[in-house]
Amino acid sequence: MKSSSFLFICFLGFSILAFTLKKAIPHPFYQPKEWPKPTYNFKGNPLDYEKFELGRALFYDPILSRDSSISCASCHLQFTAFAHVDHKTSHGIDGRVGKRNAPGLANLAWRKLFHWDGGVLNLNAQAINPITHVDEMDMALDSLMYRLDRSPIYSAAFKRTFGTTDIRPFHLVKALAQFTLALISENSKYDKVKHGEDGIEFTEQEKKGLILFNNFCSSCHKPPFFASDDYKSNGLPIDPELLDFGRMTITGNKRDSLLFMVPTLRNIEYSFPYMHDGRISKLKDVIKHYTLLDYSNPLLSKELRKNPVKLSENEQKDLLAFLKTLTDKSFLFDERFKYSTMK
Amino acid sequence: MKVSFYLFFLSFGFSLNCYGQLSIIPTWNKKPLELQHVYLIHNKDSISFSTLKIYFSDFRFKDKISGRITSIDTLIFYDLADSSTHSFFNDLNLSNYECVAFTLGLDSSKNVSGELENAYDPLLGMYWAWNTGYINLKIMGESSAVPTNSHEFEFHLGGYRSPFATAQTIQIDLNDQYIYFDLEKLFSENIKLTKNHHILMPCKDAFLISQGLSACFK
Repeated sequence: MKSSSFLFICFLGFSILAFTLKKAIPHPFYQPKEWPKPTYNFKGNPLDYEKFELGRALFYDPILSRDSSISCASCHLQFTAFAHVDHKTSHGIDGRVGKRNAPGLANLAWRKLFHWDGGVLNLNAQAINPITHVDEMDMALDSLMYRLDRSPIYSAAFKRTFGTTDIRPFHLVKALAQFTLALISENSKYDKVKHGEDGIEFTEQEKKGLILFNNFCSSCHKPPFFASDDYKSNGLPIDPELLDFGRMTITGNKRDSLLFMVPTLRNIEYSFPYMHDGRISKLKDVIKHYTLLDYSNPLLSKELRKNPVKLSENEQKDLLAFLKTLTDKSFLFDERFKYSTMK
Repeated sequence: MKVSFYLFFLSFGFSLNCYGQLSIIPTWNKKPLELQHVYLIHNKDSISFSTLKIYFSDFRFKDKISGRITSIDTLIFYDLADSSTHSFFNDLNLSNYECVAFTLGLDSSKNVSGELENAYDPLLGMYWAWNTGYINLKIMGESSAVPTNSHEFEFHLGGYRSPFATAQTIQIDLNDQYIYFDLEKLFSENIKLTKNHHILMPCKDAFLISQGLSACFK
């Protein structure tokens, strides 16, 4: 065999091997032990590592906003549990300010309803809302498709991952979902204690806090997600400037006035400020809010009315200590979820 | 002249081919509706249309002889501005069927499917991002009856949640391959532009107007 032929065969072999190895990188999504099956329809968007990387790059790229100034990550920062700190409510292009506090993103494959008002019913469709919302990215979808198509990097990436030269919104949102599906948080101290990991135990204060949590909080903030696909009134009065009536905006039903999503408490220590409009900045004050409620208010959620949160000052500290055990630093600093660009 | 030619073309087409290609024909005064053409309501107010987009789904054809129902549960997008959307079901032998029933709009399961591809593509301009769901019928234009400076009207009729679920079941006899949508009847009897000219979200008015749509199809 001629040496040039041998070199060519070697090159071909290494290329195939490299391609195979690249394809073999697993998607970061996994099914945690003892968790229910996800609600997300994976058949419509099978897990694919390259699509995950594309979604990750898009998540961090301001190309999605009209003036290329705001990315998904502008309001969903990893080190704050993919929530938005610094501001009560999220802000968009041209300094516009929205009505709501950007919620943290975690364990989305198990959610049925999205946004504080539940207006979005599946993860794929969710991304269209902030991209097109006038107070967020304010980007027309047809313009965005044109922009992605004109980008040599993204047109090549969509061709490689979805096999298309005609980028459509469903390609975009599926790529973004490939990334957000991977945002699983289940490695907190709470999880480690629950799984009986060696040497990890709750402190006495955390144990007391867990009992209080189970007595007063878990009927709405249900483990293992510490959230629920439900809408409740937590007694916050309407903000006279924002005039956000929550779930009623979607259903048009007066009975849904001032009902808002029950958010996850995972990583709650880092996802301040709190509540749908970010009006409470400290977690200890959120707990205090529940102890000061007018429990005769008929609009309050039935769980709160049935079981008023009565906590002494020390008990409030105990509950706070437990809530901090829901912090998952391996999630907050996971290299796989950090800023990335498409190569 | 243009309309006459169009009708002639339709008749000619039907005489040649009684198979397949169910077609939607929006009409005004029994003639095919044209975008931007100025019509009269009650011989008084002018009206013209800039947009007419409709979703159809869940077609059920009743066989003339056996009475058997053939169901085609697909989503059809119609856009008056795009002639490629005007006809569908090319492979169906329509002469076998006595009547057809279909849904104008999308049922709740289609609204929340998260499909977003093909007829569900948000680029078609029928998707409500804020409220996961689709507009069933989008009609936009101008009329001297609208008491605003712009005289514009916008009807985005949709919504799948009770009590304002707007999808309508419509049944018509299949005398030919055409489904006629009488907009003159809609704007003369169902919609009062002097009072109601902008509907952009699910609501009672969208529900009430949608309930009258069935009578506008034949």
